[in-house]
Amino acid sequence: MAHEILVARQRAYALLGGVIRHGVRERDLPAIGTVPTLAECLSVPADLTEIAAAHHGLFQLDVPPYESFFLQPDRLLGGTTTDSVSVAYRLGGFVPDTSDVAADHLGVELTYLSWLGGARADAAEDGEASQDRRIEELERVFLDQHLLRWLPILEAAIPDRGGLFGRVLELALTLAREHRASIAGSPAPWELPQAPDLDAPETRLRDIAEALCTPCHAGGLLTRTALAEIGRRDRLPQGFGDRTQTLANLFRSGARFGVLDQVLSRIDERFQAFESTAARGAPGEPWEARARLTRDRLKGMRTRLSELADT
Amino acid sequence: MSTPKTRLSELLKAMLGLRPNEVPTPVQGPTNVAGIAMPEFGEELVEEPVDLTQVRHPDGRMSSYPPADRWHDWVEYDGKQWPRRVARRYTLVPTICFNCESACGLLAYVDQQTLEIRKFEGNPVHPGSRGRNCAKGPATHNQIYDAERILYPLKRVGERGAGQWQRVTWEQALSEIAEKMRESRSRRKDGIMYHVGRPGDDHYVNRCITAWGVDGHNSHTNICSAAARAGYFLWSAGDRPSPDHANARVILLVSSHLESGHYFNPHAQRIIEAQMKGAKIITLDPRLSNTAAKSDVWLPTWPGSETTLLLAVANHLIQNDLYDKDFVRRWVNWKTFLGAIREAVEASTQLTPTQIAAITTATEGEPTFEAFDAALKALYAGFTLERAAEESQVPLERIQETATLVANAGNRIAAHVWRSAAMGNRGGWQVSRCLFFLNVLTGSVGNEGGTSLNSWNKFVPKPYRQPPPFDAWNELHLPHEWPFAFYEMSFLLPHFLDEGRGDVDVYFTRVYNPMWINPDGFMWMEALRDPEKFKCHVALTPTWNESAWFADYVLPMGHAAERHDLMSQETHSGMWIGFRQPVRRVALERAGKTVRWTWEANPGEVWEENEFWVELTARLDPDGSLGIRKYVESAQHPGETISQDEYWSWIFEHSVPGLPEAATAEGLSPLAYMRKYGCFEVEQSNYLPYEADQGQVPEGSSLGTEGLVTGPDGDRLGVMVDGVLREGFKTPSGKLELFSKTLRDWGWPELERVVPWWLKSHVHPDEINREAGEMILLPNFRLPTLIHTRSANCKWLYEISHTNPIWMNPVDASRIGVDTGQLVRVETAIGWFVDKVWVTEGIKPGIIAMSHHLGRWRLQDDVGGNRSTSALAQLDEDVDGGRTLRLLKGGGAHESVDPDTSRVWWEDVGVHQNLTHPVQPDPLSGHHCWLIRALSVRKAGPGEEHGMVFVDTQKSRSVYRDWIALTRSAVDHSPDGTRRPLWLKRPLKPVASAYRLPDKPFGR
Repeated sequence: MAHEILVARQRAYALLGGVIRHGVRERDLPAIGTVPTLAECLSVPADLTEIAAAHHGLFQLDVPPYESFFLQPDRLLGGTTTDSVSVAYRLGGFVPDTSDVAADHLGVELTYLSWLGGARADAAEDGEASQDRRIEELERVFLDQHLLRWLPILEAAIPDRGGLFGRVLELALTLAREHRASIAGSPAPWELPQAPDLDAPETRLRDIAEALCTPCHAGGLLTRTALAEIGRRDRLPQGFGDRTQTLANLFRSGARFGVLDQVLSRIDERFQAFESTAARGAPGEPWEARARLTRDRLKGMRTRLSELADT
Repeated sequence: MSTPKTRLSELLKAMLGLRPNEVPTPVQGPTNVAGIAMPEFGEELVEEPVDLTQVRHPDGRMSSYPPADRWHDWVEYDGKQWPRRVARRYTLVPTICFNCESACGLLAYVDQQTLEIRKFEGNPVHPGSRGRNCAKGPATHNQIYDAERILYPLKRVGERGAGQWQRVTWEQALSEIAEKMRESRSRRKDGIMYHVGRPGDDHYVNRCITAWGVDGHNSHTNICSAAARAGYFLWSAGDRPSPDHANARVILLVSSHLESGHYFNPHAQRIIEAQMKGAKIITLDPRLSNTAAKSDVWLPTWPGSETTLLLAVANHLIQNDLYDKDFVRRWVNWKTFLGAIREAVEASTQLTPTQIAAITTATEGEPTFEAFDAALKALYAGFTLERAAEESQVPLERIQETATLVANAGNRIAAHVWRSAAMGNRGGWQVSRCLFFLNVLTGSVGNEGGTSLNSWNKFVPKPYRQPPPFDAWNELHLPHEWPFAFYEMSFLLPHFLDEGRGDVDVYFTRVYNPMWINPDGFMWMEALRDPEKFKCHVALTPTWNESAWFADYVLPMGHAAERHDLMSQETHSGMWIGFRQPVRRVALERAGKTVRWTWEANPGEVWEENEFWVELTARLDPDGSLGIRKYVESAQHPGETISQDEYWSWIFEHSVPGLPEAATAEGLSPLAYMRKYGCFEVEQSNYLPYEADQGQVPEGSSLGTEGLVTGPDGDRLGVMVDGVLREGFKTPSGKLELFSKTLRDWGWPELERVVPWWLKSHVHPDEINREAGEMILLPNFRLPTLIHTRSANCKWLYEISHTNPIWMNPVDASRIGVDTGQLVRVETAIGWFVDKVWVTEGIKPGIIAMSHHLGRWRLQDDVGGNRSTSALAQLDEDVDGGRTLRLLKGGGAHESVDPDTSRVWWEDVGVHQNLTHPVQPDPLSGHHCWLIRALSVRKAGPGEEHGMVFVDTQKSRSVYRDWIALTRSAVDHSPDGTRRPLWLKRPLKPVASAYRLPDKPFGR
């Protein structure tokens, strides 16, 4: 592969990974300023304080950018997902800086790809074909088994897709997809964890809400912002609280004010979007099936939710 | 219109056009935690079982503790992997718990592979806790791995309280705060205030504050222990007791120590040990606490009657000649008493003519002990057991039994009051004075099985480069109205600011949530929001809290396993030090890595105060021109700031007797010894230090009335007792002061103040119109599993205790018409709140009780407090000072990185009652009197929802003015033109000249 493409990709991963992890720092501004789609989002002069607040709001409060959060039912950092990402790093000779985030943070994963890209660029420059192939294999494995399993769903869940960080994520996803497309072979099939049985008699309203709010169970992420929008559109008091609580409140208030169908319809719209997003991904994509399953479940859920909302 | 692919193409093209200095580079480790342990090029992750280290102990009960010589490398099965047998290799690092003031030992199990802390167990070599912990110790793990803790320095964006934060670097925070401090320090010496909630440290921070040359120390003592301290101090010049529970025959507790005492774990285990050996436990508490339930005698006293009951027992000893006359003769200032009591007696309306005549007769002749005995008998004759039974509403038989048990215990009476009646009542300082009276009468002072002073069992080492006392006095700390305050009048600070007594340039709150924990919290909120009052508020806190919400900087500080501190506590008759350590830092260093700053080893950028204060102090005086910087500079590396290793090396080598020798015996440096064990026993026991023979009296010495010997150069040498110069006490007389000349001379000459006596409480039955439905609200009891305002990120603790319902006797519940679980509305002088009721016979009729720990809230859902353990609230304010808090949603399950948060099954996280408590400062000790007169307690009406709170801050101001009118100002009563008796303790004492009364006292 052309050396300059490898260099450009390495730099792009580094830039995007750094911005996702740290927000925009003074030293990032020159590089960001050269990227039209990002430069458009910056005021002149750039207000780094506002950007820091937006970064905090998105990644600390609304969308946790961790592989564990998307792929594990318990959404716990430091578990098997983080461990497996760490193992991948080790195999690549990469020592991640986990001083402030876990190893499976999106910013760290992109940085790892930048690290591999740099090594591959060096190998290409030195004419080390076997080294180049070895690193390419590491890239393939990492993209298939980690990054591309969850980044599409995260990107699709971003509330403000036209904002700076929405655009950064879109670039990161496009870059990763194009990167993968440049490598031969297809990803091996994989499965999401089994979705919980919501038809069991002991299922509570809260269990349903929790299943819908767990990305790997539901096939997408209902962010706080998304839930607030659903509530606003029907002027429903969604209350406050975590996502599960908010969704349970929406179901209750929807049932009480006779707009439960609308609430379910709006949630369905969200998962339809996830389904379409997933369908654009690699073949064998389990997110698509999971989002479809959730949409099917929503269709048959109305009566049950009405009953549970009264309890 | 561009597509994602064209946008990507533009990106890649742009990347190739970057100038060299613009090229983004991937950042990699080494990392602070897991990365260090990882090989740079690994082949496979191998998880093969490791052979367990087998340990055999001679003591079966301690068998589960790894021996200290194996701590460096310890292998055991991972409990979370059960039933699989997965062995993990740990390095065990001792540290000190930070979840109350006991300073129990913890042993952190740090996984050698990941350097994550897997669990905390007890440290078996810790002399105070002896390997045991209460629930709060292991819960440290919750705090460290709390998904919602503060991980980075944050700076406010937008208006105060708007809830917008920007992550900043430590350097930025340090520089900006130091600049504000420097500006303040250049103008004044009372503009910087450090307000501490949980100290957790015995000297380090105070040393820094002293170095700044400002009167900057503010504490929470006046909502905690001021009254008890005042009572003990007036007796003995020691402000806390140290009961030798383990060797006592009678353990007399005014409070619920077994479950929630000040040194809960170390004390509870020793109390039970003593009980197993035959000691009797007597507990005074209106509430059937767990302690009361375990006691041999429970005395459910009506609040405010405790002094009467204690004096009745004292009188029983006195009238029946059952007191230790030799001890009293030798160690009590009875000569002063005989010379001065008559004036107080003659002015008193509480004595009969017969009593007055007898006392007059006794004081007319030679001051003999027999005369004193006669006067004592006459003085206390009115405190009969029957009177005590009537006032306390306790059956006479129980009081008789108490008196008999005390009389038969000889000099082995371990007694303690903490909070409880002392902090509840106006005049509560007399509770500890009356309780210690029993120790004095029985000679149970500082002996085996008796009650010592805390200073005899607590070891505070001499600091490194101690700065001199400052020449300043902050009127916002100790205003002239309270010359006897123990200590700073901190809970009145918003009222002081409100009435224009001053302002604060830089306000540090340290592990402190004043808005929530203090009474009258809405006054705090008004002050914290006002940048004219608190010009800069820096919240040093491990977790979000209600006050931090209104800060300008929120700086994450470490929990027990994330910081250095040296602590000692009077847990028993011995003396020890405990070394709190950042355990991951220690683990990294054991692995051969160098760590400069503790935040490099902690999660995120959580720091420790010690390094923070050093760096802040250095930036306060960057060129040394203020004379401050030298106190934080390294001796080994001139020009650089002192590191923690250097500081603690110096302390352990120079200030702890016996430690260097013990370390040498193990081939370790003193610092390495403390890093290994986390504690050191300075003395195994320290009995009767006041009896220490001081040798010959030098020529030219002078002798005081009570035998105090002052050397030719004015030094206090000791006190002469039966011809021997002994150490004595640090009181003005050198003896235990039954009669307080200090109180008399400073405007409190009445009988009920100058000697142990009963003072009428603000919740005396005369003050509570029960016919009209008034009751007493008893809010001052702890739950043993909670930590004031810091439990709210401990899921394990909240699972055990998360609600604070109102305890109500069935008689009252029937009268009001409520049953368990129903809502009642409780009205105070400034507002009202609504809470659930728990109907129980464990509380006396006429009293409702409600624990003060619970009821945490936050104003925004996703920040400002833990979602499992605090309620989301809405705050409404009207223009007339009305404040309404509504709980929109309780705690509950939510998603986070911690799967346990989705398993939270409770919603009720309590009600924040303190907001409705008016400030009630005791006119003498300054302590907030926590018992509340509930003007009405009735079934909640429509719209009065659980957790709802209303407060009228105009009424807050009015009540404040009522109470301040009860004070006796030093301006009017100081005998020598000073603000405060010089011998009284202050956490940080200024130079003597700073005690001079101000030229323009506030309000004069």
